Amino acid sequence: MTNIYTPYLAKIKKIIKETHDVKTFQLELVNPESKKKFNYQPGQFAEFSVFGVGESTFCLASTPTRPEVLECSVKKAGKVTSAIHELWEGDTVGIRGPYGNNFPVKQLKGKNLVFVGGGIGLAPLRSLINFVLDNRGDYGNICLVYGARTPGDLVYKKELEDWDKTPDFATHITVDKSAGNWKGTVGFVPVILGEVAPGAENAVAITCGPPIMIKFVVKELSELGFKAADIITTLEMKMKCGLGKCGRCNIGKVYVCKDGPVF
Amino acid sequence: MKNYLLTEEQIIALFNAAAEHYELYVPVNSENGQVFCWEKTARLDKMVPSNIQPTASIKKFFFPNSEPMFGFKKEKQEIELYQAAASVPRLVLGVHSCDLGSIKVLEALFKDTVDDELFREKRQNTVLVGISCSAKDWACFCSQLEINSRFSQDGDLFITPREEKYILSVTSAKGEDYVNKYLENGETVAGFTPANDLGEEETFTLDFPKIKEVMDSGFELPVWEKFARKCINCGICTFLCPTCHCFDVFDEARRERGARFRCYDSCMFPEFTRMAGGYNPRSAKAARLRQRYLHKYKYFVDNFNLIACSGCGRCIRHCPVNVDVRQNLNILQHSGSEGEDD
Amino acid sequence: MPLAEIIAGKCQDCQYQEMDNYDELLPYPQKIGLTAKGENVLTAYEKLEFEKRWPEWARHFENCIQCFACRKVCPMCYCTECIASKNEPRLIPQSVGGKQNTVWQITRIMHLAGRCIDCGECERVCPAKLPLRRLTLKMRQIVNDYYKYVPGLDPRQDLFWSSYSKKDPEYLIFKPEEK
Ligand SMILES: Cc1cc2nc3c(=O)[nH]c(=O)nc-3n(C[C@H](O)[C@H](O)[C@H](O)COP(=O)(O)OP(=O)(O)OC[C@H]3O[C@@H](n4cnc5c(N)ncnc54)[C@H](O)[C@@H]3O)c2cc1C
Ligand code: SF4
Ligand code: SF4
Ligand code: SF4
Ligand code: SF4
Ligand code: SF4
Ligand code: FES
Repeated sequence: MTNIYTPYLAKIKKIIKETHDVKTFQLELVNPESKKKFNYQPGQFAEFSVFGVGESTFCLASTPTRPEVLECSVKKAGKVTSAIHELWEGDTVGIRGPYGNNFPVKQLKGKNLVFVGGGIGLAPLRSLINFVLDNRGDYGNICLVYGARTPGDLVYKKELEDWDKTPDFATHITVDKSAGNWKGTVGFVPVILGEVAPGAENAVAITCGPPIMIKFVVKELSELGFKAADIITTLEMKMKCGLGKCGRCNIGKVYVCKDGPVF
Repeated sequence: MKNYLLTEEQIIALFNAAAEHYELYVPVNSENGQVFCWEKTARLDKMVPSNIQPTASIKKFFFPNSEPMFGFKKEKQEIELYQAAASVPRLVLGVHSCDLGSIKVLEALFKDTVDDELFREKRQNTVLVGISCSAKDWACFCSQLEINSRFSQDGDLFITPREEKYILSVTSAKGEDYVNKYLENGETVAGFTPANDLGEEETFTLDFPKIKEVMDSGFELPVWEKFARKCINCGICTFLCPTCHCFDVFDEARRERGARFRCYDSCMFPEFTRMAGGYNPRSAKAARLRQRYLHKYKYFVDNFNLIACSGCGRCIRHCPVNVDVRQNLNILQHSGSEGEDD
Repeated sequence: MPLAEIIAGKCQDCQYQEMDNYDELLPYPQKIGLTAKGENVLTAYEKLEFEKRWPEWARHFENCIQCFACRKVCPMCYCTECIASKNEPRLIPQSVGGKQNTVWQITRIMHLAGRCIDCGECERVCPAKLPLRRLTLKMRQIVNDYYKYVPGLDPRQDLFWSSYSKKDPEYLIFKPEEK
């Protein structure tokens, strides 16, 4: 008897060390059948298992437009994430999903997009950014404001550079505290967002990061003229099942795992 | 609905007839006078009592305290997964209306969006035989939730004593299959009217739509703090509650082999929502008690149009500090109109 | 109504009705302590033959639902993070079953050695009605026999867990005959 809590098996193809505590894992589903079933959209998440240790929730940081890789970026935070960091290329892990809703990619068509991310919160945004880049004609200009605590905490550095060179794509990278030979901007994300001041005209803002950052970003955005309906955030609650059953991720009657995480 | 009039011997024979294919569970008195759960028995030799509501609720049969969801074996970098074997068919006797009524709640939840096979398979494999309750006590409030303690159609079969005999009502297709297969020359009765509930000696009536109205607007009411003051967050109320369904997921492994389990969890525990990094959206006791009440009498109604409570009274009877949900709901239903003093 | 009928089980064999470390003593309405001095649920239980004891316990441990109410209610459990909730590493199995529950309960009792004041609350709240006082009383007895320590009785006495004396018996490390 199979059940909905049984993950698909996946092999780790490649591990990319992003920062001292974030690694990106490229996965490939072992069974071609499950590959077919695992259809996801930007913004969705999955449950990642290390057998013998447990499961944890991560955003799918890759885009379905590049089906050859499935990626998750994991920040070391506790039991399961530490075990994930100890894995080797070639190890077998479990992956269950995709779960949750996704960014409204259809409604976003024709709009200018303002991405605001903090720390590991860039992961779900990256999925959407790459999705948009792969369907470039459908969307307007892109503006990204991304910040991390220190230069060493910035993730996807190589991609950030590539994005910076992309036409109609303005990237603004900032750090809270400068270190080493950092020559870029220093300052908190909401402040930099205010300085960059992307136009609210025909634009939608998408933000993801720590709750406190989101709070100030939303405030800043509304000052810039963004209506509440044009601001998309992702919420985080503790999760276990991802299926609306285990009962811990509700905010009121809404279960973040099945009605969210995109709001 | 078909009803049979059977003698005690006939009823006993009916359930013993299937003993080869079913595991039989009955509520029995243990030495210390308390019935913790239904116990497995090889054979039935007398009629099950109608005055026992076991401490552990019926959910144990479909949603056990802890259960493996799948097993795994590691070999170098490879993993092999195993699925649990199908459950054994079971026959549970002497279930009260409150417990039967609570199953609807679990069914709604477990089949919502995606079907939870672990729950469904066990439910399908179990025949539930209800019994007309003769044990209403100080904590029961099922009639306030429109559950008739003397009759219920939420199980598969239902027994109502009548004089020296028993009426066996067939209340589901599964029950019908069972009777067709195992009942020998039973005599059906026409015109059986189930007994009405006796009601409770409650001094107040709980008006659930009104309570929900208050809850809809009452997230920040000061009463939550008051209700929670004496609660010790022991979680007994949720572990014993037949409608509570929250669980935790974890792995247990020894060397290369292990399994992924789920086990009961409770919104009354502070760890329930604590995230890596220490942030906890429900760190206050009052917020946790509010979650329990709102989930049962509001969110579940919003999402499934069912109240996630069957009035079985376990959370009242077994709470170590006498947190009484009825009294609290009563305060709540009046706090909307009159404003809360205190 | 006679006191005997409403009084908590634990109070029936209370040994400490006349403590001397009070500031003010209000008169008791009625004398409690109904069992003969020195008799309690443990002494009564220990009359049972040894072989008959485990099967009964096995059944009790099967019933435990790991709600941890016994821990939550205990006035002497004060750790900010209980060993039973710790997940790195997880020392108490999280799955529920006779064996796992035994590990949990024995661990809890051991942790309360020298701390348990025999308030009887754990036994009172347990929804599965485990006779936990037999265990806590036994632990208190062992601590008292070996270390002459009764928690809470003498506020001037050094605390059990934080004091060490060369005269402390080492039975827990060496078997008596090895000495
Ligand atoms: C929708 C969603 C998307 C996420 N995406 C990412 C991502 O892309 N990259 C990333 O690094 N992190 C992400 N997180 C956070 C990540 O899930 C937690 O950091 C991780 O679960 C911590 O697990 P742990 O076992 O190491 O921590 P422990 O502290 O040991 O936690 C034990 C258990 O608690 C739960 N838990 C603890 N903290 C959290 C948390 N913050 N959120 C949810 N569950 C938690 C997990 O189920 C975990 O198994 C996401 C969380 C959510 C809810
Ligand atoms: S049983 Fe009582 S004390 Fe325990 S968590 Fe529930 S309300 Fe609180
Ligand atoms: S909330 Fe209380 S009365 Fe209602 S079903 Fe649960 S245990 Fe029974
Ligand atoms: S959230 Fe609380 S009240 Fe609701 S089902 Fe879960 S444990 Fe029960
Ligand atoms: S011994 Fe009793 S109170 Fe303690 S965890 Fe087990 S069931 Fe709960
Ligand atoms: S009897 Fe001992 S272990 Fe039990 S609650 Fe009281 S102090 Fe704690
Ligand atoms: S993660 Fe289990 S209900 Fe949302």
